Amino acid sequence: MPIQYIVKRLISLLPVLLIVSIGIFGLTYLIPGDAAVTLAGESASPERIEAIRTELGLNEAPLVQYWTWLSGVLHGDLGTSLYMHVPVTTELLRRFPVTISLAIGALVVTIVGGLAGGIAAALRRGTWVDRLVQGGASVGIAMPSFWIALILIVVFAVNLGWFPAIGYTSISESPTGWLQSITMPSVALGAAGAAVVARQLRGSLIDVMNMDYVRTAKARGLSPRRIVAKHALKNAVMPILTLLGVQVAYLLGGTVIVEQIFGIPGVGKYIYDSVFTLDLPVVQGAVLVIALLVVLINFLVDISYGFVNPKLRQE
Amino acid sequence: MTTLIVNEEVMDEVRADPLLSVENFAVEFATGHGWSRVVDDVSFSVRAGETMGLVGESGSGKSVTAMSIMRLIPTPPGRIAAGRILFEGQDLLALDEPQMRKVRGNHIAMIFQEPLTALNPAFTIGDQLVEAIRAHRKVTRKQAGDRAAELLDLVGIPGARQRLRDYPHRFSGGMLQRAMIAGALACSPKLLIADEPTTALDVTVQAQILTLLRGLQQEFNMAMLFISHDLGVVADICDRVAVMYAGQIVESATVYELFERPLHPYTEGLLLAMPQHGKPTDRLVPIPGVVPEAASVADRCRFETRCRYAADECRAAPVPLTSYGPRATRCVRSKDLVLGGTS
Repeated sequence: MPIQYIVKRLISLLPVLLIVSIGIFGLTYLIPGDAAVTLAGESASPERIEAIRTELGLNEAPLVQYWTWLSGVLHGDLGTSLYMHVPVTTELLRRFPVTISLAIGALVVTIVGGLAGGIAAALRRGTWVDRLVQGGASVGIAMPSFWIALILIVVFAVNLGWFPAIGYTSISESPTGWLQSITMPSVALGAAGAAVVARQLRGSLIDVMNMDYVRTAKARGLSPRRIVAKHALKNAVMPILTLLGVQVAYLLGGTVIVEQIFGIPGVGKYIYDSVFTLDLPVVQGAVLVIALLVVLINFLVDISYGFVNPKLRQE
Repeated sequence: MTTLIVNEEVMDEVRADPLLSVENFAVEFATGHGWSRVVDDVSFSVRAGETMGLVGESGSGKSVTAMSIMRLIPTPPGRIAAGRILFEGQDLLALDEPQMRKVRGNHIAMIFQEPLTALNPAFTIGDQLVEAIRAHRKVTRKQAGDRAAELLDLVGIPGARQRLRDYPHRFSGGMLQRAMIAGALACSPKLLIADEPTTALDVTVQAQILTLLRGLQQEFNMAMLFISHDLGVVADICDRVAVMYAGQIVESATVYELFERPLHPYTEGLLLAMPQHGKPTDRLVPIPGVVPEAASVADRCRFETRCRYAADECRAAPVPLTSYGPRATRCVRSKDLVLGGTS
C-alpha cells in the first residue's frame, strides 16, 4: 500500500471533518429549551437568566460562538460541563475506554456471529441450518437493541443469574468481572450487526462459490475448507467491509441507549444525561469525538479494500 | 454399398488398455418436470499420450461429460444415472470425495474456457501455482516457489520469476491461459482435460496456445481430452475424435478418417459448415433447425429431425452406436450413405 495513497486519503478527510463540526454545532441549536433557563433553576428572574446567557456566550452571533468553540476544539479543549464543572475533555478521556471496550465487544459479536451464520447458511443452503440463520437474522434486524437488552437481563441476569443486570467493572479491576459486565451489552448492541452481516455474507458467498476460480480450485484438488476459507471468503468479504463501516456508526450511536440500560458509565451515557440537562458543551464534545471515530473507521475500511482487492492497490 | 477398410495397426492400439475409459455413461439434471438426461450412453476412451477430441454444439453434453470425469458437476441438481468412468482401471464414480480429491489436479488436471475468470483475482499467480503444487506434493514453500517459476517459464511466460508476484489482472487472456496450463501441469498429470481452452482467445493467441499444448503433451507424454465446438481446432491437435449430438456420441474415428469420410450425416453437416483454409469456399452450408430436446426424440434417431437423409427406418427406434473396426457411428443408414468429407 503506497504511503502517498494513505496521505491523500487522510487529507481528503479534512473537509469532511469541517462539515461534521458545523453540523454538530448547528444541531445543538435544534435542541428545544434554553440552557440558561435550565441552569438558572425554576424560579429565576429574567435578569439572572440573561446574566447566565452572557456568561456562557449564548448572546454572541452563532458564527462567533462556533469559532470560539472550534478554536478550543483544535487546541484539545472541548469546553467545560455546565453542571459538573469538569472539562469535557477530561471526562471524555475517562469514559472513552469504557465505550471502546463495549464497542469492541459488540464488534466481536457482529463479526463472529455474522461470519459463522453467513458461512453456515451459504454452505448448507436450503437446509434447516440456512433457514435457522435466515430466520434468526430477520429477528435480529427487526428487534431494537433495547428490547434485546431487556430480554437478556430478564433471562440471564434475573432468572439464571449468570451476568450482573447492570453496572460495569473495569478490566484493570477484574478481567473476569469486566467480561461478565460487558457480555450482555455487547450482545444487545452487536446482534443487529451480526444479523446484517450474516445475511449479506450468505448472499455474496453463494455468488462467489459459483465463480470460475472456485471451480478451478476444486479441479486442483483443494480441500473444501481451504476453498471456502481462502478463495471464497476473501472475495465474499468485500461488501462486508463496507457494511462494517456503516455498522460501527450504528453501533456507536447505539451505545447511548445500551449504556443507559445497563448503567455503564461510558460516553453514550454521558451524552444521554447531558441531552436532558441541556449541557451543550458535553453533547457537542462527545458527539464530535464519536463522529471523528466513525470517520476514522471508515477510512480504515477504505484502506482495507486495497488489501482485499489488489486492483485497487495500484490506482 | 461400400466396404470399410479396417486398419490393423489402429486396431492393435484400440485393444491396448486405455488410460481413461468412459463406459455407457449417463448424466441427468433435475428439471421442473422430472429428470432430464443430458448425457446418454456415452462411451469413449483415451489412451496414454494421445489426444482425444470431443466435438459438438453448445448443449451437446460435451462439457458435462468432461466435468463428470472430474466429478465436478454439482449434485444436486445433477446426478450420474449410469455407467463407469475407469481411470487406470479404477472406477472414479466409486471413489469417495477425499479419494477423488487426490485424483483432481494430481492425476487428472483440467483447464477451462474463460482464462480471465478462472484464476482468483485476490491472489497472485505465484500463490495459486504454489497452492496447486502443494495440494498434492509434500514440498516446502520455497521448493514449490522454484517449481512454480519453472512451470511459468515452461509455458512461455517471459520473466517468470518476477511474474509470480503479479495478480491475475496484470495478465492478458493468452497469458492467463498459459498460467492456467502451468497450474494444470503442476503435478505432472497423466491426463489433461481441456474444455474449450482457446474459444475465448484471439485467433493468433489461439494458435500459440494450441502449439504450446501440443508441445507439452509430447514432452510429458500426457494424454489429453480436448473439448471443442471447432472442428478446425480439433483437426489441428487431436489424434482421434468423438462427435456428440444431443447428449450422445454419434460418431467416433481418427481425425483423418473423420474428415476424409464421415459416417454420420451430422458430422458431414459440421464439415460442410466449416470454412477451410486455402480453398475458395463458394458457400458454407448450415445444418437446418436447432438441437432438439433429448426427451422429444428419445424414440428414434436424435438427428432425424434435421437430417437430409432421414428415412422411415430412422424414426422406427433409437439408434445404437455401431462399431466398424476402430470407428463407430450412430446411423442406421451408414452402410447405404456415401457422405462427403473435406478432401
